[in-house]
Amino acid sequence: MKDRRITPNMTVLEVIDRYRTTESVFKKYDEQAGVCICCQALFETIGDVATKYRLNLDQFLLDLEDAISL
Amino acid sequence: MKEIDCRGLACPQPVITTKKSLEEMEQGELMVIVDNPSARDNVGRFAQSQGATVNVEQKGNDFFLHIQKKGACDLPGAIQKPEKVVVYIGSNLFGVGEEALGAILMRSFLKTLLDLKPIPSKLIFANSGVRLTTEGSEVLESLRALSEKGVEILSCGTCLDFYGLKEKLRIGIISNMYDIAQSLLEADRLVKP
Repeated sequence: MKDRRITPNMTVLEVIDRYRTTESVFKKYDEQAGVCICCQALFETIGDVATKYRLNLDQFLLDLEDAISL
Repeated sequence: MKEIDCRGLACPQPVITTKKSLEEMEQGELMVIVDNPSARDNVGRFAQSQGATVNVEQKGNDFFLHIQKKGACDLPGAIQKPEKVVVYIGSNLFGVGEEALGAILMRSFLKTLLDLKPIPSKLIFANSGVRLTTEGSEVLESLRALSEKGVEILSCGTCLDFYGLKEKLRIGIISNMYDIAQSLLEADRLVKP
C-alpha cells in the first residue's frame, strides 16, 4: 500500500501549510462543495469537509496526494 | 509593532502569512490587515488558537486585527494544540488471563471510549488485534461509532495477511509498518489496553 502523507484527520490548514501545492486542489473542489473550502472550512479536517460537502473522500485524498507528488 | 498587509490575498494566504509571522515572534504585537470577513474571521480564530488576544478594528472595507502574542510562559495549556492520543491494540483480548474475560473487557473498553474525552485520534490494530476490525467481530458497532466521531482506524496489513483476513476487513483502512511506527512516534500519548 502506498504511504499516505495526507490523512482524513488533518485539517485543511495543516495540509496547505505543510504541502503548499495542495492549495489548487482545494480550489478545484470549491465548485463541487459550493463554497470556498479555504474560507469556510480552514480549521476542519479533510474527513469532515468531505462529509459536510458530500465529496468523495477517497478521490479527494488521492487528488491531494497527487498534488504533492507532482 | 510588525504589520502585514494581506489585502488582496485569497484564503488561506492571510492565515498562512499570519502563522509564519507569529512563529517568528517570541511575543509582542502584530497587526494584520485584511479586506474580507472570511479572512478576518480565520486570521482571528487562528491567532486565538495560538493563545494570542485579538482586537478587530474596521476602517471602510478593511479590517485591522491587532494581535497580541503572549510569551510562552503566559500560555495556558488549555489552548495549546489538542494532544494526539493514539490507542494501540495488539491483541483481540484486553489484558492477560482468561480468553472469555479478555473479550468481554475489550468490548467494554471500546464502547467506553465513545463516552470519554479526549477522543483518540487513532486506533491501531496489530497482531490478533485485527480480528476486531474484521468480519465477525463483536466490536464493529463501537468502532463504526468511533469512526463517525473522526477516529482513524488502522489495521496492520501484514497481520491481516497472516490471519487471512485482508478481504474481511469491515472498518477502517489497511495500514503498514511505516504508518504505524510513525503514528506511534508522533503520538503525544500512547494507550495500550
